[in-house]
Formats: sequence, structure tokens, C-alpha cells
Amino acid sequence: MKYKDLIETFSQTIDPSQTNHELHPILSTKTAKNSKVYQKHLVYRVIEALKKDFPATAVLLEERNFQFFVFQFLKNQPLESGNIDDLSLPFKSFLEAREALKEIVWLKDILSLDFLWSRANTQQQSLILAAGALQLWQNLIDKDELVVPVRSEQKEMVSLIEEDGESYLSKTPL
Amino acid sequence: MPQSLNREFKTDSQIKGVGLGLRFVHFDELIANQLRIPWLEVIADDFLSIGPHHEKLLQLRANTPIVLHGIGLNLGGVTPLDKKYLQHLQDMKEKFQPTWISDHLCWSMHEGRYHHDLLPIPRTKEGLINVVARIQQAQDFLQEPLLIENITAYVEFKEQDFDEIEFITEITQQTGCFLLFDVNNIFMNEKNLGLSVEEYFKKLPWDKVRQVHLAGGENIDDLWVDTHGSPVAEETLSYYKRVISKYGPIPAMIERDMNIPSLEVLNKERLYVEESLR
Repeated sequence: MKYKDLIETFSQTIDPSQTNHELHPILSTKTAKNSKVYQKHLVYRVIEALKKDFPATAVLLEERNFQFFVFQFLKNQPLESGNIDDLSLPFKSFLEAREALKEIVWLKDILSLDFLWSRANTQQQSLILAAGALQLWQNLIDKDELVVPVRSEQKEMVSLIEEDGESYLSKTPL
Repeated sequence: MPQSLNREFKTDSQIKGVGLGLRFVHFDELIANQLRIPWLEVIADDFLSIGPHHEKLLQLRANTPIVLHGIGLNLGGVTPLDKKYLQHLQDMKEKFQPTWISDHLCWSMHEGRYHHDLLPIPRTKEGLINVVARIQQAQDFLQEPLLIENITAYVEFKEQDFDEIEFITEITQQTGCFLLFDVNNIFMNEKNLGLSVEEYFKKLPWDKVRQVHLAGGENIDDLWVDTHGSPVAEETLSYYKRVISKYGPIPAMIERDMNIPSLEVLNKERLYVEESLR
């Protein structure tokens, strides 16, 4: 078999978006079963990267649910960038579009704050959110008391401030 | 003769002993430099996104020598080398002045599909021609020889014309590249694939080895996995001691990517490795 075909075949074998993961005869019989470890590694790496960029969302959804949604996301998401951080924006859109998650009040605000804080979106520096959303986000990060009054009728502007290489979030009531 | 073969390797007396990998949780402490870590390995891919970490690395660099370690060159791949990634390495080289640049003997992307992993190269004659050409291309772009690292492989291809040592030897001879020898990876490969660590001691072109990686792996479901999630195993450390006693003081660094302890704890492990070499 040509070198290119060996690479192509193995690439398909370990791609989590492919449904057929049969052990291929290009691999030695003794080691073929180990190819599954590459899929597991990929899922683990993406979970870790997305947890880094969406720390409060991960707490809000709880670990197992967060992992479930990452796995579902990977089934449909082509991995077209070498920079794993580039998955953050499509993952945010994926969660926002999930019917099952629309019942979770403030998830959208928490996702947006995570995204702003991780600086995955380098263009946007401010958000307008329901008053109290920043406090809820902070409590999720700190794994603190989650009963925080969030008032959708009132709004606050949350801005990402960077000074001397350090960052913080500042809120202004509107 | 390829252009790459004529290049001199930079030596830097600052890269000696046992260093650590830069991990962002330790960034501020490393800038403060109270623990006096002698040198750091910086993962180039951690700096693909823009952000304040670039400025922090400049601050850190003022006190600490670094080497640059890539994950994304895709040297064993077949789609053209990523010019943007090469330019990223070149930009980091100019800005942060690493003593050398390394990447892996592997592939990680095919036809726009990124696996975010270090995948084994089918060691065929065609595979050798392919990887040699790509290493030369990368070295010509960066205007310096690379260090190429052996990986942990969990599978072996049926069709292979070379064993790993023969493959690596051919690559160093044909490209003029140097080697980053990962001791833990051959330990894992011995456990999983039945390869012989002894053969590496006997046959590897040791005069080409410029750096060593140390790490801890874990046994998960009867497979030894290179998790970088635990301290360096005594067996791995004993191999490094053999390397040092036989081939001289080749610098090493400890990789830790999971269960990352405090910098203080990691530095204690670093000091333990240094101490055990005396």
C-alpha cells in the first residue's frame, strides 16, 4: 500500500466523527486494538481545552454532562484547525443551539462570560448581560454559593480590562 | 548535498542540567524566578492564540533560557507543510530567542483533519523519503537544524521496511537533524510493543542527541499510556542515568501535563533527578 494510503486509512480509523471504527488490516494484529486510545486521547484533549475556556459552564453543567456534550460536539465538528483553541467558538454555538439546554436559565450569559474571559474572542471586550450574571459566573468559578439573584429586567455591562499583562472583569450598571 | 547538512548546531552552555516545561499555571512564579529553574521548554503551540501570555513569556525570557518545542509540524504527514505554522515558529524564534527548536517524528494532520495527537509513521521506504524531505524543508525555512523526538506509539503498521532505530539513523544522516531522546517513550514502547530499550542503548546515533525528555506514564486498561500525569518512574530515571554515564551530560527536562502539581513540588522532583545523577 502507498504511504499516503496508509496515512489516510489510519486517519479515518481514529477519527471520532467516523462511525465505522473497524480495526484495519494495515495494523499488526497484536497492536490494532490499541488504536482506540487515539480517539480517547483526542476526546480528553478537547474536553480539557474546552474546560479551560469554559470553566464556569463546566461547573454549571456538571462534569459528566459537560463531557457528554463535548463528545456529541466532536461527532459533528470537523477538526479543521491545528489550534485547539479554535474549537471554543463552534462549541459555544453548539451549546447555545441545544434544545435540551435552553431550559437552563442564564447558560447563555455564563457561556458568553467564559468566552470573554478566555479571550477566545479577541475582538469583543464588553458584554451587556442581566444584572447579577457576573456574580453568578464568579461564584461558579469559585464553586461558591450558587443562589445569586439575576435580574433580567436590569442590565449591566461587563468589560474585560487588561493592564500590565493582567486581566480582570469590570461591571457597570446600565 | 542538501542545504540542511551544512548547518552548524547552536550550543548554549545555559541549557544544562535538568529543566522544566513551561505550564501556564506556573507562569507568574516562573517570572518571579525565586526557585531559579535553570531552563525551560516552551511549547510553541501554546502561543498560537494571541493574548497576554506572549508578553509574560518576554518577561520570563529576561531571566531564563528557553528551548522551543513544537507539536504541529506534522513531519510525517503528506499534505504540504503548514507555512503558517512554520512562520509561527520563526516568529517565536526571533522574538524569544530559544536555544533550539524541536518537534516529533510523527504526523498529526491529514487532508485538513487535525487529530491533535502524535501519530506513528509507517516506517516504509516511501515514508522515509517523505519525512526526510519535510525535515529538510522545515530546516531550510527556519535556517537551523531541528531536534527530532521519538514518540510513544500504541500501534505498529504491518508494512514496515525499517525498525525505529534504523529509521531515526537514516533521518539524522540524510537531514543533519539532531535528536531529542524521550526516555519514557522507549520505556512505554518496550512495555506496549515489545521493543528493546537495550537496542536503543546499543544502536541509536547518540552523538546526535542534544536533549532528553523525562516523564511519567500510567497503566490504563493494560496499556502503558504516556500521560505525563505522574512523577518520573525510577526505571525511566535509571535509563537517563545510563545515558548520562555513557554519553555525557545531555540536558533533560521533566514533562508534566496532567495532575500538574505546584511549582514547588515539581521543582523538588527536578532537584531529586539532578541529585540522583551525582
